[in-house]
Amino acid sequence: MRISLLGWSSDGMRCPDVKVDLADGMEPSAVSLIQMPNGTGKTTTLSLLEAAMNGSATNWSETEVRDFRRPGSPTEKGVFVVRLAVDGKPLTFELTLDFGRGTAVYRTTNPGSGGVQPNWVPLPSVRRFLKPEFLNLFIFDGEFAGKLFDQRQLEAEYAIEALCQLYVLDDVAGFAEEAWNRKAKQAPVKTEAGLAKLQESHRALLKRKAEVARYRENAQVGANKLALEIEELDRRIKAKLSGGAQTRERFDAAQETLASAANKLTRVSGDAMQALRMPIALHTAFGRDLVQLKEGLDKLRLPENSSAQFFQELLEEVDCICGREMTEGAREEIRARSERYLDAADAGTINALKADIEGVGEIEGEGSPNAMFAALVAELATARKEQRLATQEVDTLKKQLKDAGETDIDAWEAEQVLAMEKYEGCKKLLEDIDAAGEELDEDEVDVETWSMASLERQIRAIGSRIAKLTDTLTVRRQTELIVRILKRTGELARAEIKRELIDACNETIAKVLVNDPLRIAGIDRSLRLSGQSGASVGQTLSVGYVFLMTVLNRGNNDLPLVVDSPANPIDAGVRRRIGTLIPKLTKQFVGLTINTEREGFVPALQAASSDVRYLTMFRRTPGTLPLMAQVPADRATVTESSVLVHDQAFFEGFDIEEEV
Amino acid sequence: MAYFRLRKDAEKWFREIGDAPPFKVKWDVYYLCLMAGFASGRSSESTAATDLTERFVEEYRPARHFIIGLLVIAELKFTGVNRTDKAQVRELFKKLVHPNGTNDLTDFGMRRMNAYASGGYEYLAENREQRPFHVEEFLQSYPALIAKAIDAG
Repeated sequence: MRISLLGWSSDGMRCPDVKVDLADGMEPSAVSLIQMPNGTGKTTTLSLLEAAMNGSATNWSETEVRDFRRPGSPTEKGVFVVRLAVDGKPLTFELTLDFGRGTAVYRTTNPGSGGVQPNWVPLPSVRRFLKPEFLNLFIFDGEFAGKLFDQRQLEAEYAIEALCQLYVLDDVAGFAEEAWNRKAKQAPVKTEAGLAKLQESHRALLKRKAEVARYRENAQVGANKLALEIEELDRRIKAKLSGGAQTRERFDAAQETLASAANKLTRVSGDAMQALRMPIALHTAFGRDLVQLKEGLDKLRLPENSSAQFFQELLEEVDCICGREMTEGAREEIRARSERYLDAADAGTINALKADIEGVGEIEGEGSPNAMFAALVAELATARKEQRLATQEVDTLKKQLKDAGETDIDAWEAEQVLAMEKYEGCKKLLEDIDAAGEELDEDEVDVETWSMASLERQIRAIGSRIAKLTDTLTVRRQTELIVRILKRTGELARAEIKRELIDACNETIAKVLVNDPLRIAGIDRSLRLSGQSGASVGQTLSVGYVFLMTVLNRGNNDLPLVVDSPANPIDAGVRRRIGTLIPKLTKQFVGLTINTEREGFVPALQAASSDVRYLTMFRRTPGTLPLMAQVPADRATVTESSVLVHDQAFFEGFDIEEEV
Repeated sequence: MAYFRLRKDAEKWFREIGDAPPFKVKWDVYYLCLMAGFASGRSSESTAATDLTERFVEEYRPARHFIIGLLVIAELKFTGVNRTDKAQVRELFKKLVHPNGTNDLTDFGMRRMNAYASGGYEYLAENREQRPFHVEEFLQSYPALIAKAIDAG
């Protein structure tokens, strides 16, 4: 089968409105390079391409649907149409997203089966290649190549299964069973007894076997995906919890520091206030003034040794203290002069004042009250600074804790629990399917069993009984032989194909990665590298390319390889070699590139293929207005939001470094 | 009986910090204003005020003689009394100081004390951009304001 991507169109989606043609008629260019600067919607385009082709959008949540709405756009609907050619016949999927309702609907146009149909309904023969697991093989971004090396992924195994058409062996086995069924039905019957019932059971068991096989495949894929999802959620939760725990520890420590700083501040401010209550501590000038006051009083002999009371009492005496008679004139003079003296109490206060001043000791200098107060003020400043810093730290961490959002963790944990339940369900189903199953009596039939082994035993047993009754025993044995041969063929083919693929891949890798001893050692579920468990992004992408292209080339199905940023992480030398190989290994290569990828890659593609389509797309913004002058009008399609130029010279000269 | 009196506007001006530790008594606010008055030599007597106490409160009893001494010093400066004239100095003491079992101030002495507290508040209010909101900040800046007033004097 050959599937070609003829083009796509987008209208009203987050990516610019555009119609991209990769083919003239039904034959696409061997190489199509679509240069899209960052911000032009490469990732969106790739997501919509996949969704349109694999029919998965109907399972999207309302939020997922609305994620494709163009910011600020009033448009309620977005339409993405992808045009394919399947063995030269057109097949179109139209995906419409209703942003208001948050829903997705499909329409399928398949001229071979009745024109336009509602829903995503490709023909069964095509459906196999449009499954998400399969689409990932030929529409991918740089990350996909890494999955080929992930032991938990089935991508490498699936690639071989699908692209090398090993499923055909199962189809043949089914055809053989059908053929015998038909034969048995047409054969003359020895006895009718129970035959109809046996045939009915046989059909039911075959149907059940196919059903269980589908379940098994889905359960395996589901379990792998869920395991990854659980692991990713676990990583996110641990990262956040670990970040959160660290932040929480820092927050607690910061709070302790803050409390300690606050205590210190309270203590120091209390001490400072207490010291401040003594005027001589507040400023040395107060102390000096007080000392000077005392010294002045001392010089003035204040308070006097005699108090006013002494003279008052003297007035009562007959003789003055000097021995002379106390005359009335003398008494009057003594009374008048006594008022100039301080009374005893006043003197007491002044003496107390002088005594206190005398007791102060040092007014200035290291041990003075003022020096001690100044030290407390300095300590107060330090304590305030410490408290301020501690407060800032607490506030910052509080914000971090708030920003970290425990709601995220809660939601992830809920998701993880749900994923775990689903994972356990898948694992249980796989265990049931892989179990030996109950041994049944000859007449017993269990079409409800999940055990594949049991179903196969029952099919064989009933088949033999039908064969005996219908006298088609030989044909039955031949059928069973064919089925066994086909099963064994599949096993041998897989092993042989893997061996050949490894050889072919390693041969190519040696040419592509000339300076690198990287080699593929084996293919299990994933690719296993020789002597190393991991590889750089460039190595991964290079080996991934080689593997996919080798598988694509080896199989009988031709599929387009659509890659986002095909050469971004690899160096110029590897780009040249990959670029040279691509046209030889696939009939259609579509690369969504940025200008910095051109070097090395584009000239190599150009040299290796005569059919390269150069497209350049950019958004119409005030910033890109100057570019319009360089756009060749006859080679450009201009919409309200974008410009698409189909021109090699423009492609090669295009240079937008920044996002537009 | 004469009371230590705190201007109402000063009380209001200090309201963010005056009622919480490390302030213990209303007298703390009075004292801060008083020291600013002594440092700046400013006194004013004609404002509505609240009676605080007759006595020096417990927290300030150890400093009471220094406070009285500073009042005398301020008044010596204010009145221009000759410090070497014993009679004048004694007279000033007699006007201001009188042991009365409560505050050792005459009524006049108390009036002048309150006047310096009032003038000190005015000095503080004029020399700070805004009233104090954080006691630690005020305690840190207050000594600088006092120093500034003394240096200016």
